[in-house]
Amino acid sequence: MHLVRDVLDKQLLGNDEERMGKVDGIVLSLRDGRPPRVAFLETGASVLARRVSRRLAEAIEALERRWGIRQGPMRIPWERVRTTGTDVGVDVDARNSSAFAWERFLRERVVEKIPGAKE
Amino acid sequence: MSEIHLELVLGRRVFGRDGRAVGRLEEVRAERDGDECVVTDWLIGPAALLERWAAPILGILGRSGRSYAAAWDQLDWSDPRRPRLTCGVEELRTMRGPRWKQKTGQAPPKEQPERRHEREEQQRKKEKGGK
Repeated sequence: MHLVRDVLDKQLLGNDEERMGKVDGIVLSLRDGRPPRVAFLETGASVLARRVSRRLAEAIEALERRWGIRQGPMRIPWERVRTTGTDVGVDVDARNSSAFAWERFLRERVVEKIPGAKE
Repeated sequence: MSEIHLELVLGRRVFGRDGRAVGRLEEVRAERDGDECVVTDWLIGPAALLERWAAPILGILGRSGRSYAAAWDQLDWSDPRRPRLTCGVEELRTMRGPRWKQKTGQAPPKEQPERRHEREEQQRKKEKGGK
């Protein structure tokens, strides 16, 4: 398996085949005398922004914390990865995970406040 | 135990023990080992980039530089901004692109680089045993 070709930037699919963003980062854990292992896959705006600028990533994380959206990027342990290739299937309940934190925030704080939005 | 973010070290120059740049880190080979996924090789150089794009055919468009596959323990990550080889460049396995076939007139070996490495080691052991 090639980590960049087969995993990085690939579509993440949750338990119910729900699209939950892309694999924005791969965290490798270095171990003494043993080969490095893939510890986590990361997803989220701040992870993507970190590739451009560390300051931008920190600003996004600070904003997310301040607005109570989420505490840092979403990390998925490798043990939860089911498939790799075209898409990366993971054993995660996408709807209840922090992958949908921004969607939940916008629904509760913005969309529901629009007159006529509530049923 | 420390962590490195693969997306941040991708494209970084890898330096040899003598401080000279060997190439850029372009791809990482890994294999599943039960629940774990462990790194087997760090791929360095333009041929590694073509392998990442899954487009080795592009190698015929231009002369590519030397490319290497470094085993997991042949890179020192104590400074992730400046990964260094823990061995000499000559000890790395060379990645051969399509141009190799044109130069030598022979087809490249079908076996994977890691298998070739094993075979070379076995040959070395045999030679030692013979002496």
